[in-house]
Amino acid sequence: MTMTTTMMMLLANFISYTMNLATATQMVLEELDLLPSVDTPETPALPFRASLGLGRRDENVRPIFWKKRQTAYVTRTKEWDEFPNGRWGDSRSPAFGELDAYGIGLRGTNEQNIKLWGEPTCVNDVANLFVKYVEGTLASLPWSDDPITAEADTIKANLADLNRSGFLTINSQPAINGVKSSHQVHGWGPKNGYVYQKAYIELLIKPEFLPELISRIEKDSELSYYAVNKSGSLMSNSPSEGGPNAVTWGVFPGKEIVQPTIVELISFLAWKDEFYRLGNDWATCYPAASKSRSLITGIMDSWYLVNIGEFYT
Amino acid sequence: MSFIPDHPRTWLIEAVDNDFHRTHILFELFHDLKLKNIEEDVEVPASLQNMSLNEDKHQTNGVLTNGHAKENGVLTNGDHKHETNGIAASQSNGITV
Repeated sequence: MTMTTTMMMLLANFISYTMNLATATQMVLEELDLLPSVDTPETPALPFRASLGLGRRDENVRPIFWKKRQTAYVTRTKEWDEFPNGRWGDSRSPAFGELDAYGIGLRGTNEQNIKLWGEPTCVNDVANLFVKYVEGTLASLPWSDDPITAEADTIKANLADLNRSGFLTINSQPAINGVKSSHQVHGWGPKNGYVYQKAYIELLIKPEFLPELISRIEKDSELSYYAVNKSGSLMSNSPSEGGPNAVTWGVFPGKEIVQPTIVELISFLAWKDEFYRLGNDWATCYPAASKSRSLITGIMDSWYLVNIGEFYT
Repeated sequence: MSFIPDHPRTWLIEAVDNDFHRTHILFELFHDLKLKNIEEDVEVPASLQNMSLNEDKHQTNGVLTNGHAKENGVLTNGDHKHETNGIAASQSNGITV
C-alpha cells in the first residue's frame, strides 16, 4: 500500500495553507489525482448552482422553471424555514415570495435593455432575439439571466426553428439516458454515477395554436402539458392532484436516487406570475406610444406559457 | 404493509418509466405549425398615439429605469427611504421619484 493511499484512507478532510505560494499545494493535489482534468473533469454537485446561504446547504431539489433565474428563485424562497432535501414538499406552504422584492424584476436600465434587445416592432423581431440567444450570440433575455449552455447543443437547431416559426422557447432540456456523472456537459454529482433527464420544453405560444397543439399532445399518452396565460387561465392533461415529478435524476454508488429537478403545478403558477411580470417590465422599457411597447404588451396579455414533457406517464 | 411511503414510490416509477429514445418527440409536435404574418408590424392603439414618447416611463434622477435601477448607488425598491446623500431626491434635482 502506498503512502498516498494510506493518507487517503486516514484523512476525510485536510486543509492546506498556501501562504500565497500555491505551487507546492497544487503539485500535491496533482499527485493525489484530486485536480480536475480531461479524464476527471470537475462537475457540479447538482444540475443547478447550489446556494451558499445558511440553511440552504442541504437543499438539493428545485423546480426546473427557474433554471435560468437562480438568483430570483433564491430570493423568492429566502423566507422558507427549510429547503427541499431528497424530495419536494408542498410548495403552498410556505408560499413563494412576492414579486416586488429587489432582484425579481428585470435587470438594467431601460437604455441598457433597449440597447441589448433593440426595438422590436413585429413578432419576427422578438423571435430573432430568441434565435440569437439560442445560437449563443445574445447573452441574455428578459427570462434568462445567463447565456445558453452547451447542454442545449443537441437541440439548438430545433429550438431555433421553433422560434423562427413564432413559438418562443423560454426553457428546455434534452433527454439524457444515463450518461456518466463525470460527463463534461451533462454530468453532475459524485463520481461513478449516471445521470438522466426527461425531455422538457417551455414556450410562449399564441392562443390560436393551442387547440391543435393540445390535440397533438393528447394523441401521445406519454406526454403531459401545462398551459397558462397571464390572467391564470390554466389548461392541462395532468392529473389534478399531480404532485412533483422528477425531470432530472441521478444514480450514484451507495446512495438513494437523487432527483434534483422537478416539474410541479404550484411552482409553475408561481413562475407564471414572475414570467409575465418580467415581460411587462420589458414592455415598459419602451415609451407608451411605441410599437415595441404595444407589441410586447400584446404578447404578454394574450399568449400562453406552455410546458410539455413526459411528466406523468 | 409497505415501508415505502406512497408518494416517493410513485415518483420513482414515473422517473424510470421514460422512453429516452424519443429524444425529439417534443419538437415533432410543432411540425408544419408556423405563425402567420410574423413580420407584420404591430399597430399602436389609437388611444396611445398622441402620447409623448417618454410619457409613462419610469424615471430615476433623469435616468429611465424599470423601477429596479440604483439611485447613485443606493438601492430604492420601496423598502428604503428615497434619499441621495441625505437629501431627499425630490428636492435635490426637482424630479419626483
